[in-house]
Amino acid sequence: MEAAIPGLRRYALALTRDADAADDLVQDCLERALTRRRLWRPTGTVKSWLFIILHNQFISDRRRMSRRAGDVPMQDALEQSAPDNPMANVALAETARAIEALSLEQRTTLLLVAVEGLTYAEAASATGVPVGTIMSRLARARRALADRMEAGPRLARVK
Amino acid sequence: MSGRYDQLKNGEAPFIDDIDLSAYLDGEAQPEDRRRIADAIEGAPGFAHQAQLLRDADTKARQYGDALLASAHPHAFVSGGWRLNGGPSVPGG
Repeated sequence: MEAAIPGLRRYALALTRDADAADDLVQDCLERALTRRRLWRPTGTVKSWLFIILHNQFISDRRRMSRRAGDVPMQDALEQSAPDNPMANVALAETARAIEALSLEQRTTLLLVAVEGLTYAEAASATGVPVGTIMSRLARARRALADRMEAGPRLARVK
Repeated sequence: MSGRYDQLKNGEAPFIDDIDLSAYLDGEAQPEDRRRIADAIEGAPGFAHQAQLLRDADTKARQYGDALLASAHPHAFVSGGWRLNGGPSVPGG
C-alpha cells in the first residue's frame, strides 16, 4: 500500500489542485482502505483498488462542498518549482495550463493511464465508466495536449 | 481528423483514428487491430509523427504530475526515487 502513496498524492493533487485538500483526500483514502481491507478482492491490484477509493472519495467530497475543488490553480506553485531555470518554469507553466484546460474527465483519465500506469480496465473501474469511454477520453486528452504543445506557448497579447 | 493524416486524405492508408493510435501505444489495441496500426505507423511517416506527438503528451503529463507532487511535497523526492514515511530510500542509507 505504501508504494502507491506517491501516485495517490499526485492524482489527488491533480484532482483538487490544492495541496492541503490533496493530503486530506489521500489520508481519507488510506483510512478507508485500512478499515475496509477485508472488502478487497484479489481480482485487481491493490493500487487500482486504492485509486477507486480515492476517486470515489473525491467525487463524494465535491458533491458536499459548496465551493468546488479545483478552482485554485497550481500554476503559481509550479512556476516556482525550478527557480534557477526560468525556461523550464515557463514550459512547465504552459504544460499546466494545457492540462488544466482539459475537462476533469479527460484530465483524470490521462493521469490515471499515462502517469499512474493503470490499465484501461483499471482506470474504468476507478472512474466508474466503460472501457470505451476511457479510450475516447484518453485519446481526446492526448490530442488536445499534443495540439497545444505543437502550437507552442501562447504569448500574452501586448497592446 | 480531416487534414491530419495525409495518407488518410489521399486514401493511401487505412482509417486509424486517435483512439486506435492511443490504444496501440498503450498496448491495449485489440489483437486484430495491432498489425493494421503497426503497418500504418511503419509505412506512413504521418502516423509515426502523430504517435510521437501522443507520446510527447504523456511525457508532459508526467512532468506535470511530478511537478505537482514536488511543489506540494518538496522533500519527497530522493535521487529520482521516493522516500516513504520520511525514512531513508536505501536500507541503511
